[in-house]
Amino acid sequence: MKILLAISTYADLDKPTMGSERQAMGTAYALKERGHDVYVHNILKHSPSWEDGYDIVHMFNASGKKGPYMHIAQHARLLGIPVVFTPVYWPLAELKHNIGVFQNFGANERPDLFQAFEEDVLGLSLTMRYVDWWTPNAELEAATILGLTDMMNNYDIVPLQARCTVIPNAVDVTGEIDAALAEDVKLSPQAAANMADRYIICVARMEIRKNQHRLIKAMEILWQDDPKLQLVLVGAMNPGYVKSWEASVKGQNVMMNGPMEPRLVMQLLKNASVAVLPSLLETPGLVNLEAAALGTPVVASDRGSVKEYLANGAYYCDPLSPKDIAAKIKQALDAGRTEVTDRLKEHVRTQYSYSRVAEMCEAVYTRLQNPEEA
Amino acid sequence: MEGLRILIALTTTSAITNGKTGSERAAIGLATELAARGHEINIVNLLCRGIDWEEGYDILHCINAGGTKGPYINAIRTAHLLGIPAVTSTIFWPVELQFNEMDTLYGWTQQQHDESRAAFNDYYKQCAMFFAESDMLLPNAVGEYEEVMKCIAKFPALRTRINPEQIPWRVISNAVDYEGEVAPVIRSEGLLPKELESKLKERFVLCVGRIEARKNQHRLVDAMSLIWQDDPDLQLVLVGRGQPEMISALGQRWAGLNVLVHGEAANERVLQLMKRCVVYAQPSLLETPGLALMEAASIGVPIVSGNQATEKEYFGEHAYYANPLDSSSIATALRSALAEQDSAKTQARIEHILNNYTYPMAVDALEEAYQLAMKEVN
Repeated sequence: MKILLAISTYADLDKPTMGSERQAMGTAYALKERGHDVYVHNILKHSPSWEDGYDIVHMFNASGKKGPYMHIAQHARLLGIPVVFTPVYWPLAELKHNIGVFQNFGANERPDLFQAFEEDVLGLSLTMRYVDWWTPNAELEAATILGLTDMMNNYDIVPLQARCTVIPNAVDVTGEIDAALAEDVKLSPQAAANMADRYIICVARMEIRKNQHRLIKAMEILWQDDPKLQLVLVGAMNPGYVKSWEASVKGQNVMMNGPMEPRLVMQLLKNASVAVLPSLLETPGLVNLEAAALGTPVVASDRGSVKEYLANGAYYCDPLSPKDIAAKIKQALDAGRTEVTDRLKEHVRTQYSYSRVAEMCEAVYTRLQNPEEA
Repeated sequence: MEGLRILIALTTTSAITNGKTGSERAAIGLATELAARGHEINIVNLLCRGIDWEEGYDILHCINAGGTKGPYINAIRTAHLLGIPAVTSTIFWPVELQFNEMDTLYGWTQQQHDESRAAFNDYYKQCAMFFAESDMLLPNAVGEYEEVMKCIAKFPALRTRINPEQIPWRVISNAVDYEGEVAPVIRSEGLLPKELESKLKERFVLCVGRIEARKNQHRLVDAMSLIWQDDPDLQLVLVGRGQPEMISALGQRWAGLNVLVHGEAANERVLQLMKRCVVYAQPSLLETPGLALMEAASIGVPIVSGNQATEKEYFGEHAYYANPLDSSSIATALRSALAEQDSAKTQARIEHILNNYTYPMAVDALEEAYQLAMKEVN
């Protein structure tokens, strides 16, 4: 099939860092391997070449405004091309509240600040009107979106429920996970010198949503009995956010790194005692899946859909409670790598690979190409 | 002209009902005048919404605001699919000067330099594709049209599909909303808040615009330093939000100087300050040509402008021009403007704007352009 894979992002798609972009590119490569012609377009910056004659348009929602998606879907419909949409959505209420609290004002006090969030949610629900099929990455996400677009169902000939397939997020098993498991990558001499033998790792952009400030408080609890346990933070830094807690980690057993090459990140994840992602919002957090696929114990936030992915193979914490984050890290540390982590490793590798995701996408595309057979 | 169904489309991260940038204000100004003439106007922010094509538009009018161009290109392609002509207000000027200035002023690393260069090049490419898709180009000056053609020429692959010289074009000048915005302020008492009054000096030079490399306030302040040697009481009032990189680059450079930084202000406040200032200065690296300059001129205030873009095409002999890269040139232009005593010059400046750059005049030309575009497509 000729597949237009459309995503709207300010980022460079050659070096994807955000979850949606990585999912889109991973899916594109896997679809290519299955023999499809895949055209990836950043629709924020350019328009697709419609004369290429696509059979399917598959849109991946990234952060930002939703107008570009609506234009693509509208155009595709005029040309009679079926449109699939991966919405990547989670309610933002708690995140907004916490941003408000973090910045010392109530969420309702500065509606202007949150207008963009509201606008994007509205944009998302409007986009759903134009799509033929949608592929949330979890049952929970599907239920949430159905709630969001409840009213719109009344106007649709085919209700949203009847044109939805859950297609999970995936990790790059053959390209990244297996490579990381097969051989060690050398860290830079400086990084290697600063690295402790035992460390907790959090790979995520440093921002309120990822909640590193509470993770640090949790580490302070753990350091009382275990001062040699290192915290390794990897990711781009939001300057205002980092500034707010930077002083508190001076002299502490913390190693902070900016963004790193994927193979180095995999290496760090593989060797970590525990991987932690206590975010206020994740859907479900690719790094959780990657750590699990590498056999590393995972502490994840109890918010979002990650439980659907990792079930009882991971430790779930209340992201608002440093005490609970600390307790779950401690449990994960004490248990270490066990049969449970081994089973989880295999589960992730088999269920959440891009090749499986591509197969599922293909089934949706085929169904849309042959509606009568379906 | 019979009433048309016109879709005005732009992309902006701001609320469209509260237009702040020149493009947004132009969109609202044109829409208001077109509606007053009996046309049915819908304005859509392409970044946030799809288009209700079922409305059956006669014409799509894209107004190039800042930002990425994907949504415009796709809207035009859909319009073509439906047989609807698409015209584009190009609002374009190359950003080389701005790029070099940012590089130096903000102290970019090699990586930042390379990434920004790539981003600017991609911006040109997006613009070229956007313009090349249009059925008619509506630059706001002849000089702008020439730059648009140069931009398209940078991407020879586009020539395989279109001949850019054959795209029809019409100049639709920028305009001031004299009756709606400027005149009421001129007629009003124009009281400013007490706190602001207490800080304002009797004589001040005004500059309105986001405080950033492009607007060149740092060289304006340097130029004022030359003026202050003889005229220390002359205040400089800067109205506009500071761009974080610029504020960081400036550090304490302006501390202790006779400079009042106001922060962003509503247009009514800006016009009140224009009415009170002795000179309005906008020595930007890039203006096309700057609505604030036009508004100040319509009030009659002597204006100091940069000379790098289409300013001369608009203001002719009614402005004082400076090389924006040279503080002493800005100071010379400021001195000339400050020395202006001739009330006939003031009146001529006002008449120049009112006789050439109002929305009714712009829309006269626009209606003709729409008709031509519809004829070409049909």
